[in-house]
Amino acid sequence: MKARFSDIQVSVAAPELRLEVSCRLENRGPEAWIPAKGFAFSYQIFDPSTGTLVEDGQRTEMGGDIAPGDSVAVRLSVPLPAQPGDYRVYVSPLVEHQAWFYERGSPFLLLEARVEDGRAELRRRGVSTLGRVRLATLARSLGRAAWYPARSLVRHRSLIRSLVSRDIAGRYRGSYGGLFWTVIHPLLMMAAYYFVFGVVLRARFANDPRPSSFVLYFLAGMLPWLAFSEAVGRAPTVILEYRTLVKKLVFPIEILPVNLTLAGLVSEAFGLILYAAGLWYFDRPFAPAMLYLPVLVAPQVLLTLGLCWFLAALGVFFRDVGQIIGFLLTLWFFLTPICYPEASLPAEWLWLFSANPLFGLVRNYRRILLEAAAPEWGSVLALSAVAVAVFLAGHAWFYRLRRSFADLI
Amino acid sequence: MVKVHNVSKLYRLYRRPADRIWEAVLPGPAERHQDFWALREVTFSVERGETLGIVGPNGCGKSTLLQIVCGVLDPTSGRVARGGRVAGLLELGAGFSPEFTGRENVYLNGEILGMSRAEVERALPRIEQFAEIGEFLDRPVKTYSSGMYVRLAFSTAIHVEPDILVVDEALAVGDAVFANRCVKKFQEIKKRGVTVLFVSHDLSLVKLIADRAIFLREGRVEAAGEPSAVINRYIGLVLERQKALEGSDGASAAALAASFRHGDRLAEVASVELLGRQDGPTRVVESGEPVVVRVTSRFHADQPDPMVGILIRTRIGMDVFGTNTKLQKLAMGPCRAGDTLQVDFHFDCWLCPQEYTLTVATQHPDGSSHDWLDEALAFTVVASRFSAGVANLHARAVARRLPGAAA
Repeated sequence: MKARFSDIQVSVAAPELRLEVSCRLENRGPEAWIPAKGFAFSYQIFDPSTGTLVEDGQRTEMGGDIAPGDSVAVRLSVPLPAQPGDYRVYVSPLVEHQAWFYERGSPFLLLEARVEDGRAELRRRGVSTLGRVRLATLARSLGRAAWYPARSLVRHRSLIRSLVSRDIAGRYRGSYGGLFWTVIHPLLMMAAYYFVFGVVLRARFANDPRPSSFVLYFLAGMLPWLAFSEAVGRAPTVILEYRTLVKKLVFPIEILPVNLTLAGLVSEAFGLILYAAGLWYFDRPFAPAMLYLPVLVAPQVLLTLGLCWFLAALGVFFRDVGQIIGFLLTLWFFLTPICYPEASLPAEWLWLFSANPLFGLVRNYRRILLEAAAPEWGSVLALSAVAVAVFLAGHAWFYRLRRSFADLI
Repeated sequence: MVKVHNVSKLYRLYRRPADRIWEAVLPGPAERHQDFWALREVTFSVERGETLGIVGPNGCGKSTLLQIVCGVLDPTSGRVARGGRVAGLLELGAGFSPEFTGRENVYLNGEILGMSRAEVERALPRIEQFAEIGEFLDRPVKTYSSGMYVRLAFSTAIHVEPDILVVDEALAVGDAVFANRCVKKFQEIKKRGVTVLFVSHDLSLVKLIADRAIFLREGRVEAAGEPSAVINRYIGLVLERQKALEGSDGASAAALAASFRHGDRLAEVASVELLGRQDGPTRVVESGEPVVVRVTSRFHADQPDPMVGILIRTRIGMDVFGTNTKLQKLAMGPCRAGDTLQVDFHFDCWLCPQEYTLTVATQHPDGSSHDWLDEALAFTVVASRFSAGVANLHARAVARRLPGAAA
């Protein structure tokens, strides 16, 4: 199935919003085009912004068999929809109930028209192939992938703020402690770990004999991990949780994973304040180095958010992800040196463990919080690069799949 | 302005969720799904300030169409153009969370529907006023009655000030007073130039507020245009179906539906028909329309003084009107076994628009029943003017300004 177009002429018939097309078509394929076998000539109109088919055109007879190498002059007219907007028209031969030539890689005539104020304007015409059109679409969507996530965050910032505050307030709504629990919760957790590791197990760290040493080490890694795992753990089910918003309202669903990420971050912020108080209580220096924290928090947020977007979309298609994510996070937790010292990792496999972006994150948190030093810039840079990549890819993935969410849940 | 061009929606139905994965993963044409076209080549447009009513039987694609117009669903093919901000009332109170107060929910819901916080703040007094829930605004939504919930949700959504409002059966809930106020609100926003699309099973409501209507059937536009013409078409279809159903049942007394039937069956009710102005049976009556209730009964024993009666009730079972041949002083004479008797009750149906049921009976002169069928038939009264209550007293209002008393 291959056709060659030549002598192409396209004109706009203004009052009826009609494109008049005439061209010469040559049969470049190995078989004859036989009208009785369903060979015909027609067009399809697409909406370029979504790629959906708007109209399937009337078939034009070829007026006789066309043997390979022969050519035929064809005329056809394409009535455009009266609705204002951009339209993309594919003009191509087809075999009825089988395929369009263009779907099988044959060149076709591509027309781009705009309807505005009851007038049609031809903006582009030319012979193209499906492969080339797809490539152009891909290039465009790559461009979009880079700036859509940022645009969406900025555009919906007020809604994001409201949703995050509702998420946090909602957790403890109806309990007597209320918002107080956001503080009590991490405090109790830290006290429990202190008791278990510092007092009962007497775990000490390095050459530091104080009971607080292991706990502070452990918590420095645990705080970012909790923010990360809290968000990622909820991500696969978040779309289902807010299904009425997806199905019944015009709602920017891409901000639901954002909401998770930020809610996790708020818990971490409370934890960090308590942690700082703990450092002061145990007589450890901390103050100026804490100013480096935003350098770590930024990639942490991007990484979490990217993963949340990825998992949220995946969870709609495979509900099983919601079940398995808890296990995966536990595994991840133990593969990251949070509750054990880095030194206990086998040295020859260290390169593999360092590929874990959370390893770099946790390690730099410790440098800032425990050693009161600047982060290792090299690993921060690597982490940031990974985080940005995950962020962009996660959003692109989510953006691509979100269209079918409402059909699936 | 909303323009819907050639919109179709295809659902792929899989028997098992795993089939979806297999089809995506396995190569080859092995199809594991069934195609279901929820909408087929639907085209219509609604101009600014115009109200379009959408009617049709359950499962005809009405809700899918509204979801596509809102942008919640994407069409499989075709295109929808919307001129301005769309507010969808597909489900009242979608996004409300029970633990939060009404006020908090209004804020968040308003923002979700596309208002800024400042806009919600400005609209809040009006929302509060329209919802009429008083101090409950500052109590958790979980403590609301369902009526209050609906009022608050509707009030929030309608104050978003959209250019296009899409409503799916939202008015089916709430009491008559609230429904009436909603209708007024609709007319008010229509004057402001808001385009309204709504789905309703309440045909009189469609007649009342829609400028145009479309009738969807199996995903296709079956009729479009003047609401009354479209509705007649729809009613015609319903009747046709009913007839087909009855026909397949063998159109005997056995086909007569009744919620409760009792009596000695010495005189059996063979059929009950409601005949409207147009020839033939109907289930929808215009308020004030002359109608005939035709009761056919068959006698299995001699009856010296038979009696046939009818009783109209509201949907909740309140007696509205009843009469019988004795009260009408209709002398029918003795009937013998094997006779078939047809009695027509003529009256002008001055009832208010709502659903009614018709109960019929054949009785012995002493009042004991031969054959009594409760709710043998249901019918709907429609009117172009809304009125409250049951009896349409066909009132006219006259006003005169009295001269003020001189000081």
